[in-house]
Amino acid sequence: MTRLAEVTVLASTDSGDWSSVGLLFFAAGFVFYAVMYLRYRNTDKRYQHESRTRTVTNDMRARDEKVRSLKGLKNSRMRGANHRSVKGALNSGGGAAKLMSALGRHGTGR
Amino acid sequence: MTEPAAERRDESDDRQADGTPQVLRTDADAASGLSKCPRCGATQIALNIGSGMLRCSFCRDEWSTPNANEAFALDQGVDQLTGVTMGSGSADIVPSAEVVLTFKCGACGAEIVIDTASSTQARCHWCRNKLSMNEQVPNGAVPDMVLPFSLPKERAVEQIAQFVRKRRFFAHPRFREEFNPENVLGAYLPYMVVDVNAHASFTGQGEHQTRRYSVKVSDDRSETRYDADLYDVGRDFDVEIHDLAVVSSRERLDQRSSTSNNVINAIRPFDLENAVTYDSNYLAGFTSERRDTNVADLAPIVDAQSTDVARHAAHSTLGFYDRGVRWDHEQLTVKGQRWVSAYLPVWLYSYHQEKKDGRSMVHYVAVNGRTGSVMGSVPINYPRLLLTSAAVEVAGIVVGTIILALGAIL
Ligand SMILES: [Zn+2]
Ligand SMILES: [Zn+2]
Repeated sequence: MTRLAEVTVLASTDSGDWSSVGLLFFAAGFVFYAVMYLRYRNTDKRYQHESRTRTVTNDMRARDEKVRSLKGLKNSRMRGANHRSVKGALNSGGGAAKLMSALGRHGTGR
Repeated sequence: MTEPAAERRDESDDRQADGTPQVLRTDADAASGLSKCPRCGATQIALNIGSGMLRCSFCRDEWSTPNANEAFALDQGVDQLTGVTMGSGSADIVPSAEVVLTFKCGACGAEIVIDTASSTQARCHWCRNKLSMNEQVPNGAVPDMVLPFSLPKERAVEQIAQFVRKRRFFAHPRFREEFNPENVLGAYLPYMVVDVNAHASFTGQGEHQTRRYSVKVSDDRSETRYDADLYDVGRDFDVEIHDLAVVSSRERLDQRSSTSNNVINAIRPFDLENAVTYDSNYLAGFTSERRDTNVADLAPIVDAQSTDVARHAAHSTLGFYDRGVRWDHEQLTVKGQRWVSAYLPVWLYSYHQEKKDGRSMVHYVAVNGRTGSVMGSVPINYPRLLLTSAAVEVAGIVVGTIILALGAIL
């Protein structure tokens, strides 16, 4: 229950006005269901291979060239930003989940 | 959002065509059959979890096999790797290779069967001596190295009991009734451990915020607007990836929510640097799962995860782009890879759930056999969870309505 309250408060700090706080409470049951489902089934859990694998980088060459200035953007984040994407995860929703189920059907050694 | 055109120029793609990966011999001294204590010759040998060494249960002598990193120089030269190097225990599985092998007992001459699907040892029915398979028959049962259990069963039982105790209220009633953490089993699961020497090249665009301000969109409403500088961004670098591990059993690779295999993945990492060269005696009293995939089967997932690692490695240089970076082109040129197969230790509590529609699912609670890290899946009592969620929803609507009303008044 405390987690639900946290979710609600966190999500509302941006706008801070009464109506959005009020509207968030209308989703309370759905949020509760999702939080409990994940707490019991943990279908979202995986090993963070992208950040936890030991890596050494060498000879980093960077190119940063200004193209132009953009004015009056509505989004706080860049549209289409994907530098944090992970495509090799195997759990539900992971980019490689399909790859591996295909292996089960067509793979060798069976 | 468009996916960047992922292009891979894999210098090792010719591994099939030219078919000559460099093989790192890892079973040079291995012998199958009676596996005897070097001091007294008894065959009652098992892992002593307390010391991490093999122990003769007859004369109590203890010894261990060499550290695999040192024996095979696995921690060295990742930046020098070219082409594909693989341990001899990672060789392709020959489809005709038998899974059930027959050995002649060296003590009494009887024929002994070892089913390598779940073990690489068997006891002679006649003379009670233990036989081991340590030679690498191409059926995936004997890996290059093994990381022995160091977490005792009692600790695993505690971890599992504690994990489930926190998840009782919405647990399925039959699960609650039948739950007994003492039923945990120690299993060695097959993994491929891969070192990668690659060159990464990412190009795209990034945005750096220069101003944030409010604009009035109507008399009583204002919205936030941002100004930003748009840049062309490129990052080009060499990357060494150490010990990327992928489970190498077909069944375990399926980690979608219709299974609970993902929780076994979530209890990593393992201290792979402490793995030792293979000896079946480390598996005595535990079960094992045979590797049933080859390097070529796992290459796509290793490549995808290597690219993830490289993309993440570029993060530390992107701090200026506080609004984010959109990579349009990602290329990982793999110069070399080294594949080594391993058995890794997992304490597994399994619960077989029969569903009303006749399907069934296995829920695992898994404990890392080295670190004690725990993760699991507990079957849900859906009527109870749905009813409670409905009650929370009703309460939320009441509170939300009050807040909206207050907001209108104040
Ligand atoms: Zn002995
Ligand atoms: Zn015998």
